[in-house]
Amino acid sequence: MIIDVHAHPYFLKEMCGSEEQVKFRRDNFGLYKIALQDIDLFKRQIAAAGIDKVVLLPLDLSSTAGGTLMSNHDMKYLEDLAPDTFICFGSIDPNSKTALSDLRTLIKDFGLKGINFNPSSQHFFPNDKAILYPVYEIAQKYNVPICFHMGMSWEPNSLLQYANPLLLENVAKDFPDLKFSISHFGWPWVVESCILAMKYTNVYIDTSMLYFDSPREFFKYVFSSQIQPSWIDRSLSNKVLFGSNYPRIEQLRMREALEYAGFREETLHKILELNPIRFLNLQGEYYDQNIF
Amino acid sequence: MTKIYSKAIKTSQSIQMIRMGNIVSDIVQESSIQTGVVNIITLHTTTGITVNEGLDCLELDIVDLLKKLVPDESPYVHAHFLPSYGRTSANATSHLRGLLLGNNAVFPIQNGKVLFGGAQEIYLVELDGPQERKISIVVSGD
Repeated sequence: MIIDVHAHPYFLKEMCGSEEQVKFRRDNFGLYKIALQDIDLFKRQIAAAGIDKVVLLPLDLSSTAGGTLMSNHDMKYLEDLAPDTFICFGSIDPNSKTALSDLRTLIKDFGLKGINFNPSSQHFFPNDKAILYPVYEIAQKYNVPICFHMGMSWEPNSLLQYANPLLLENVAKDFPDLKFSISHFGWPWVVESCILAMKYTNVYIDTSMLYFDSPREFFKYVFSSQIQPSWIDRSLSNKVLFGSNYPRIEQLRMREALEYAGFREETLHKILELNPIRFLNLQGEYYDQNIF
Repeated sequence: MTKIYSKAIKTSQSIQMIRMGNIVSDIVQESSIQTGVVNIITLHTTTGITVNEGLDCLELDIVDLLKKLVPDESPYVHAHFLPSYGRTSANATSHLRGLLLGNNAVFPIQNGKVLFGGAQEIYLVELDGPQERKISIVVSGD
């Protein structure tokens, strides 16, 4: 059961209602030239990459852009279109007055499987106790994992000041039962991301990073120059999640890059399968729980 | 008389050879043109159109040859973020393999049928799949 924990559904044909909506997504996600593709083709691409399930991430940009890239209602609809393949997260705007009620709806009414935040695009500091801690309390109470996009973000209105993974240390410490991932390996703050994942049991990192060169070359650089493959094999094999960042890059190429990064086979198995299953609370559905 | 048809084909593998002879024959028949030529043209830069014998073994050899001539591991320059796209180009191999195959094939039409040689098959070669590909088939003649 190989799971990609980081993909975006904004250009799936079934979810694109109007040209205006597609333009809003292109302009605010910053992906300008991409053909709309239907779910059937997306499933072919997933299959070609040897992936079984995909976590799809929406984003609520109400405060910073005046709308959502995809609403939680649409994410529920999308998951129902392919429940065997799609694991849909929801999103809330932390700066909105309705953030907490939106979160409860996301969890209790729509049954979405996690929460997606992009502090750099949504313009908030994730360690802001007044605004965010009530959100984290609810997420922790319902055991809903959070995906934090940290590090460099390609969205045009994103700011790095909100994206240093160290901003999450208080969250990790104050909410020890709240599982969250640092997306994009927090690049360029890769060492900082590794430190947090090593120190805090509730912190994961995902591999959805591609900023220079090809996927294979970039992974080789990160895992051989910024850190060592042995760091992952020896200390973080239970904390890294496979994420592609589709559609900014094909899942097949990110999967191949991971396979060539120099990790032990056992580590790859954990990154591709066991760790995502644990992070997403899917143990009971798919695996002998003794493994965990 | 010239008639232009378009065909959309969904592929399912990263590299895939798709036989198109029957599709082209059906379109020529539909055109009612008895004498002329048919051009099969891909509208993409990471596919190829080629002609070869329609055998599974040869298809494997052709794919192996393309991978050998254009290896996956090489310091291609077309591997960087493209601001106008908002994504990274990582498909230099697909473009370069397509360069070797070309974008079209042409066949004569005689008595309303495509004049194939005894072993000939027309292939759309997917080089960056899975994708939805558009093929233009232009039938000209009388």
